[in-house]
Amino acid sequence: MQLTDVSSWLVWILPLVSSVFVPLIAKFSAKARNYFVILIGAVTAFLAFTLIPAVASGAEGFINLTAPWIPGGITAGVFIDPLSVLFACLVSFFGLIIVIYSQGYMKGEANLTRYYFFMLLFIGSMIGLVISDNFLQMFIFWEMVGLCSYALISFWSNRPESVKSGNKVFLMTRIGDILLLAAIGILYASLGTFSFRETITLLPTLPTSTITTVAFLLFGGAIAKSAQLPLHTWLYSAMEAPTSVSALLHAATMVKAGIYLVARFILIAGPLVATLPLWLPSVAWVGVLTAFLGATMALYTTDIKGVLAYSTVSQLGFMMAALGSVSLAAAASLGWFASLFHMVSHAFFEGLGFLLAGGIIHALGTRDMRLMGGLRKAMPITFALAVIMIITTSGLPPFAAFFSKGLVIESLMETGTLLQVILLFAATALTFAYSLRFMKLTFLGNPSEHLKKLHVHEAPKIMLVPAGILAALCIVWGFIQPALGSFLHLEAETSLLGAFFNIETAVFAAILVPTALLIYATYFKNFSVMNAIRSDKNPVSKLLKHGYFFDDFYEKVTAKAVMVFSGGVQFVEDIGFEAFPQKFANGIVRLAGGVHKYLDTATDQFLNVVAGRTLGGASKVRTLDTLADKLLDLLAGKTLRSASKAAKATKAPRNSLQHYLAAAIIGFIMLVVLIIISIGV
Amino acid sequence: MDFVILSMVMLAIGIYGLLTQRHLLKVFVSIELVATAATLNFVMLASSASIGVGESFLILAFSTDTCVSAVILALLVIASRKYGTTDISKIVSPEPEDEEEENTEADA
Repeated sequence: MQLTDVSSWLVWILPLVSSVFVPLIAKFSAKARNYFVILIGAVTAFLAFTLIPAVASGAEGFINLTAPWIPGGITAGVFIDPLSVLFACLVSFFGLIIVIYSQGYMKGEANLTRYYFFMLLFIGSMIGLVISDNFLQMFIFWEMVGLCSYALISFWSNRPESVKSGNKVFLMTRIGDILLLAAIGILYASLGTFSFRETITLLPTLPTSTITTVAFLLFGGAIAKSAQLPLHTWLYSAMEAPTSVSALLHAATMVKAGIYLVARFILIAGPLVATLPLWLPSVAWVGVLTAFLGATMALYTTDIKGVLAYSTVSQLGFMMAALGSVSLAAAASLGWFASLFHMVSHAFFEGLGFLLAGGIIHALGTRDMRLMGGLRKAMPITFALAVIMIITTSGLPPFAAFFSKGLVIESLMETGTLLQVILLFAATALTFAYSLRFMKLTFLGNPSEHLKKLHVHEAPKIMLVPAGILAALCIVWGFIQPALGSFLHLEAETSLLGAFFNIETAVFAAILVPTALLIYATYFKNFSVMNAIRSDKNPVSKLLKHGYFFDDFYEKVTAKAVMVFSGGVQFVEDIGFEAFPQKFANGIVRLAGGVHKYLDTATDQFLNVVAGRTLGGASKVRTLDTLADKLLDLLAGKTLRSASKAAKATKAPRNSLQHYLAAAIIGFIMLVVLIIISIGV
Repeated sequence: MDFVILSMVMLAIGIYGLLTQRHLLKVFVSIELVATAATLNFVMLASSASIGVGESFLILAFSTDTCVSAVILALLVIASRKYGTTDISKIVSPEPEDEEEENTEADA
């Protein structure tokens, strides 16, 4: 027990803390950094596996350790039960595998420090997400996982497509985050607690309408994170990430967070979950439709990682469908167990698929399957592993997915409708078909023109060993089912041997044969009928090639709607808020112009007229003045003449000066008089 | 209650700015408005519920907000230098490489 107390905390704190040390250690040497990351991955995996015995023997079902976090009754804690331990072990084990694989796959890339930092951060936050004991802590890790996904998808930040895809993935998963936050908010508002343990006891006190709302909002979060219809398109875009990242985040672990959330909610709500109106059927229907449509889309994509991405979407649909078939208390029902069982086996075979695809991309430098073909001779080990992967994916006995997929369908046969079962069977047939197509396009046939130019080599050993481990697990995992059943406290009857002989297997075998024939006719013999069906003129193939136009819809309609809305608001702004002050100002300017034109000019002209008149009057006065002057001159001349005649006097002084003097003296006198008057003497 | 209304108004103005403005700095200011509105909302609700965490949360939120603003401003400077414009609509897709990708996917 002591070990569990420590390791349940360390298992997520250790990778989180040591992720910060990655850049520090990278300062010393790149090699030390790589070894450090592998060491932390190994220790984390070890810590996760030490949790198993305590849970397997624990009679009470779960261990809940808490520590004070936020004052006001909110605690941080770990919640150790079979579900969380199963996820924690899977995540840490896969993290270790991928970190080792990255040593080969990412060799020679720039910015590897950033890559390993986010890898460790992701491992830590993903384990933290599944091991948290309350919704708040879980939500924080949920967001951190999304951040790591965004950062790792955009790892090649000099490629515009990577950056664009990263943004798209971040925004699309954001929709689910908001729904999840709303669900958590409603829960906290009505219960006053975030803790799982208290929620289990308090939830039945709530009215059904509240629980249903919460359940649907949580399911919305799961839809976005687990790439279910209609938000599945982000997973295809996420394939811009390095393949190792796709294997870890977008096949094995992060996309399972939605499955975890729904499985956890079913555990928390217990038998209550069956009473919620429409909830379980909608979970099942979304899962079934996703499984079917994802498989059809995988049949048409030419991207080698695209096949695996749509395959993941489809398999996640299987898990969701199984969760939707829960009818009894969670731990006892077959669907809940089948979902988790399939979750782990899917992690193995899809992870293996991504690791092999990574090796192929590494060798060929392209992701287009039309440029491949005939790799069987060049990459024999990869080919052998791929055969195992394909057989497991398509669910052939006796590999892992045969048992898990069988259980999924069996659980739906018990509670689901006939149409759901038929769609799931169709999805398994399609799975087989796209697996065969993948095999044919990549490994069989003749090498393409592109390949003849290259010298194709086998993937390095450090990439093959992790893939080999996963392949071995693909083979073995199916037989662990009874042990896993008792670990997860499954009470329903399952038997390994029975899986071979029940009705589900018979139907499955019966539909595999025609599917195989169809694929054989299409890709191996090139029948003209099949080629006609596959041609671009056929509306169905066009529909599939565009992924049911989901992305086009989002881009054309949603993005356009936002742009139109923005344009509308801007239009209002242009005429309302920005143009109005401008028009107002313009009006004032025009008013001022008018005032200037009419009033000012009028005044000016009035003044001009007055001035002109004054000038005219003045000039008249002046002529009068000159006339008077001349008269005076005449008079003075005569006087002078008479005076000179009389006294021969000198020149007479200028008369104007006398005038000025006279005026000055008169003025001065008047001033003095005025002063005297005003003083009042 | 007044503060909730105030924060709603700030949020509305921020979103309005995000929708209409095309200048990098104006968009940044709008983002800041939204962030501040959220912070204000949190803090006021915390203080109305008389939980002491609100005040400490304020300091935490402000310091993180400042760091984020510093990073955003640095990014804006780099972006405006690299693209030689401060108009957001011109920065969105400057690379011509996308078209080549589509061409290879188109021929089936």
